[in-house]
Amino acid sequence: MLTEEQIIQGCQQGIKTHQRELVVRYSPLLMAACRRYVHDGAAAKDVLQETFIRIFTHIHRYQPTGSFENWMRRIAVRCALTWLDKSKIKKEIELTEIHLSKAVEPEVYHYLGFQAINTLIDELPIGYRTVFNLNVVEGYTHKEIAELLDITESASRSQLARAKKLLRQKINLVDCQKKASL
Amino acid sequence: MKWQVFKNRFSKEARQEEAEVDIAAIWEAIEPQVDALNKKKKRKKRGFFWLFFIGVAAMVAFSTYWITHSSTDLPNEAKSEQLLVPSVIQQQQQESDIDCPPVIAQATSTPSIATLPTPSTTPKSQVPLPSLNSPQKSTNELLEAISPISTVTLPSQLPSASNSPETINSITSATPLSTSHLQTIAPLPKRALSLLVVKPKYPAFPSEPILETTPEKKQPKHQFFTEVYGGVSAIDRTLSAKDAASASLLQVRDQYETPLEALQYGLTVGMQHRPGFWWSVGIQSTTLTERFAVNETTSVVDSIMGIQALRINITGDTVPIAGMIAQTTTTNRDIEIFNTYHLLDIPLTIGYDYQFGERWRAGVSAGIAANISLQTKGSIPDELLQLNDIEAEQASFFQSNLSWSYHFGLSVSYALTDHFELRLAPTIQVYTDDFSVEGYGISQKYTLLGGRLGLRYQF
Repeated sequence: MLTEEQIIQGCQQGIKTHQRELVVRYSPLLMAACRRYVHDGAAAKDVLQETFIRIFTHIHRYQPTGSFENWMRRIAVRCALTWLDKSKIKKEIELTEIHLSKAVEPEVYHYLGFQAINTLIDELPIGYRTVFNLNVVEGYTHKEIAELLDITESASRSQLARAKKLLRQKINLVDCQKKASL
Repeated sequence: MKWQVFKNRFSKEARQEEAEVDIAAIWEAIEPQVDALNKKKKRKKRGFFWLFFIGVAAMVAFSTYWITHSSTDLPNEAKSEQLLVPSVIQQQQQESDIDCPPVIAQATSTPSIATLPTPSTTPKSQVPLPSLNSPQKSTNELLEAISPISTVTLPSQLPSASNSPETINSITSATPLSTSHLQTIAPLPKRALSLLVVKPKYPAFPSEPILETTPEKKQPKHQFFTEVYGGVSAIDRTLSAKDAASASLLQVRDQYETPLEALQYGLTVGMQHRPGFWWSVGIQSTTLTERFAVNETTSVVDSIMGIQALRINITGDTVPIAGMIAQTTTTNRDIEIFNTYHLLDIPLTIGYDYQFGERWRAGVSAGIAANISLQTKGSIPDELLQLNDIEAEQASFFQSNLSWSYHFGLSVSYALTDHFELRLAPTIQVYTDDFSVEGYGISQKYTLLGGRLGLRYQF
């Protein structure tokens, strides 16, 4: 079995078997990343294909100082954001920004497991969800998010705060339903 | 739970999340683009190697220019002879013709002239120099003209009667090219005198020649050549499994593949140094051919529903009895494919040739070759004898170029003319690098043993 280092070297040399091995090994992981931003299955598949093409195109630039998975994941996120209609996200963010009060600290996350929370995040509006995923999952700063989505830093912060608030409401609702059922 | 704690935990789980995906469909969709990308990369790589080749060619051109312009002793010398010697002749001629007073005065007033040997009055010393009368004479003619004078024997003492104008005239006309006389007669440029190598002539009557002339023709220190050659070699192929899992693949390839021959041709340019050393650089094409052949018959026995028996009852009707019966399927595979590995090398060779006889030379040579391209064509089997196209899938099995190989050989050459030479050279070339890529389980190396026939043109 090829190691990650061998796969990287093989892909840098343009060896097809190594490229195929990379696709086999990392497709599930990168598909999950793509699906986080692109809900439509067929579109997510397109985004994943584009991600692999970009990976193979730019793999000679990869420096083994950082995690290879992170490097590929960032490419996947950028591909997904390219596919998303940014203007739509921007418009939604601008509309919701004026209703912002302050950031909400969620305190009831531990009531639910990862999958349940994930499902609730998927139900968030696209603008909230995108900013939430970029900040919480991918670790982008608000400055980076602002550049990626072509919005202001404050808009990014407010979107995250509203996402957190909405998520807490949803979690509370689910929690109440859970308690009632007991 | 604080936000940061949740964020860390959720982020960690989210980044490990995997989604279901049809990997085969994804690969199928991107494969053409990946192929195009690989080809593009290959072209870029080839471009780099062509740059390397151009660099080598530039170096050869530069060294050629440098050597040509730094080893011009002979032409310059010849030029100076042609330009300066006639001026000597002219000067002497004028002085002897007009019986120049300063010459006489110098000859008589200089104390050393009293001890200078004077030409004897033998017919040899009085031989006139008709050729010197013409300033337009060539160097060779001049040398021929002065050669008799080089054997002139001179008396040690100048007789007192030599002060007479006739005697002085005789001195100046009969010994025009004796260095001491030239110095006495007129101050000539040093460069003109440098053409005449003078040995000391004291004491009198030296047995050796007084003047040594420049040789008519000098052999050049370097000589350039270009050579075209072609050859055929036997192939010694070494296959080995890189890991235990590839042992069965090794067995299949060993069993069904047979190395055939290697054909080579190339063009080199180089330089031959006078003692016999030479070097050359060029470009060489090598095609290795192998045969993949399968001729086997396989039989598969299976059970299918069929008629086991026919029964005829008492009324005369035939009743088939159905049941499982054996079915044998025989498949005959007869495949023959010729695989080729085409290599393009830049060989750098040094050698030494030993001349024996007028036209024959024997030599040894050794060198290295940078491989700039490896292209494969044909098919190789996998463990299950399924064929893989090594032209379309070369990157999965073989390198696009190797790094180095080395070669050494012997040679016998025969000079057809002054410029053309026929060379026969038994040669061994060893490709030390593995032809296959790292991810492929079989290591594949080659050694070629064969002969080359070449035609060399020297200039």
